[in-house]
Amino acid sequence: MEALFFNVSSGFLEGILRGYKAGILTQSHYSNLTQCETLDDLRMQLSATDYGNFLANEPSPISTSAIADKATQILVDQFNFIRTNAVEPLSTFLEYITYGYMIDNVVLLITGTLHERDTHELLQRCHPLGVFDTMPALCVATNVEDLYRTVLVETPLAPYFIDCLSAADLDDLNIEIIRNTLYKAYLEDFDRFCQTLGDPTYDAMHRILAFEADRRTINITINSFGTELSKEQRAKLFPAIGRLYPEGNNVLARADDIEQVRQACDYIPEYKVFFDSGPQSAPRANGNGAQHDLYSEDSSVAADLEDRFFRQEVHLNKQSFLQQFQYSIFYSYFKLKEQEIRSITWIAECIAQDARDRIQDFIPIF
Amino acid sequence: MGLLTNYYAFGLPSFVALVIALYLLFTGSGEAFNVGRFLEESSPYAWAATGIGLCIGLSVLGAGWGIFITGASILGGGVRAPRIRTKNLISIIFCEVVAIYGVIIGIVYSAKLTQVPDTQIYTRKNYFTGFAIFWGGLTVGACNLLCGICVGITGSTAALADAADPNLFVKILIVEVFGSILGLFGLIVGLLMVARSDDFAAASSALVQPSPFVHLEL
Repeated sequence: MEALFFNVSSGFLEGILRGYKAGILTQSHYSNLTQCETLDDLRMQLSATDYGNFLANEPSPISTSAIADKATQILVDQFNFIRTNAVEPLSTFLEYITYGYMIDNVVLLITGTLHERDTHELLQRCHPLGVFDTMPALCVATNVEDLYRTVLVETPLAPYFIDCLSAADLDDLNIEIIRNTLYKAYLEDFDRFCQTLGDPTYDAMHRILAFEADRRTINITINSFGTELSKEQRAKLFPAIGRLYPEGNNVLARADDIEQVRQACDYIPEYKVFFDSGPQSAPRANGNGAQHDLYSEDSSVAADLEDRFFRQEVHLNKQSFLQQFQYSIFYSYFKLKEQEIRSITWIAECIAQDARDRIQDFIPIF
Repeated sequence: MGLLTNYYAFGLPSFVALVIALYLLFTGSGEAFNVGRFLEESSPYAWAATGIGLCIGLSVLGAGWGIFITGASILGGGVRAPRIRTKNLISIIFCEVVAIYGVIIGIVYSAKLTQVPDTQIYTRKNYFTGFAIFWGGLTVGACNLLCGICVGITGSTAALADAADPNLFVKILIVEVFGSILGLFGLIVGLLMVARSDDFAAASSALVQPSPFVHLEL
């Protein structure tokens, strides 16, 4: 039934977005890029793709941060084009996508202010998709109560702060707790909103958001080993929409080492393979041999885990394009584009620092 | 929320209908609900004209629906892949054909509408013609509505698939062809339904009272 009315308001934008998706770099593009000797070669190779002459005005030598910034600017332009042409409910959906970036920006500004960095420099480092009007005022942060009352109450993030006002003062641990509490509230709210959008959208988005929730749960657990975070505090940060909810969440809240984390994820086959060490069972386009002998078992599993999470995320985002007449393609495209920018930046860094042995460590998409 | 709106959508009209039915029953005028009477006293013109209206109306609704579904996707997909623009007009043509079927049937049926004075219209053959045109028109209209929607959705997918990979277009076109045959079926059945009915003709002898339910001013 969604096919009957979807095209009235969003058919044109779906066509545009699928056109954008056709421009995502493929394996052959990546093999050309990895063979570049210098960043100027990279610029030339990228000019043959949908990126075009985005680096045309950069004086050489180009820096990798300039490449990342300009590529992100292309992403932002595409997002703004879709956003200005969208009507309800797509416009609300796109707003929800920006909230994730807003949370990151808010936390960045608070952290930076506490460490007494320059306001202007901090604002430069904010993600452009997550800017809101009163953002510069965040730089006068003293405690969360004031922050909320003076600055954040008018932003769309206001309802997510309900759980965090108890954090008395702002220090590094508390800020991470704030970040994760906000993100938990955001994920649950986004999931609830997607439910109102009906079936094919909710199917795809729920899978993606549930994986995001589980990923954050596992990361919070692993990162909290050996810190002062109590188990009750840890349990309050786990989102309630993942596949690990509720039994897995309970086990992870009490876990003390990686082995218990592995056991908690055992009953979900997709997550079980993340913890297999040694030759990987998931198919990989480019091999990443076991080069982690210098590190301990735990940190190598953790580093591998992050990589495998990214791959799974890319896999889920690719799947949402298989269905037409639904909104999850908008979310998936921007996540895939971000991943592509990360990959290009990685390749550029490897070329710039002449670390060609690790150049294949990016994640290919198509 | 969906369950609540269903209650109102189905509960209220059913309740109202039940109250009216029971009122008629308990006040002794249950005979007032007389389907046979309604069929006999309504004029065959009313039936025939409604049928033709439904035929062309629903056909055009289906065609228009299909065209906007396909058109939006062709416009969107054509931004990055301009080569799809001309080839995908075939989908629009398939949708348009559905409206043409409606027009053809409309013309064929309206040829049967001749002028007959109302004292002489209520004959057996005219009743038959009136009913046949109504239901034939409804059949053709419904078939064309669903066919138009089907071709529209498939055409939209064909446009986006063509934009991604040119080899896919011809394959999805086959699905569209099968979809558009549905409209043709409707056309055929519509023609068969009125095959045996004659044009409206005056009664051979002036009837004083064609049926007890028909009230004429003589």
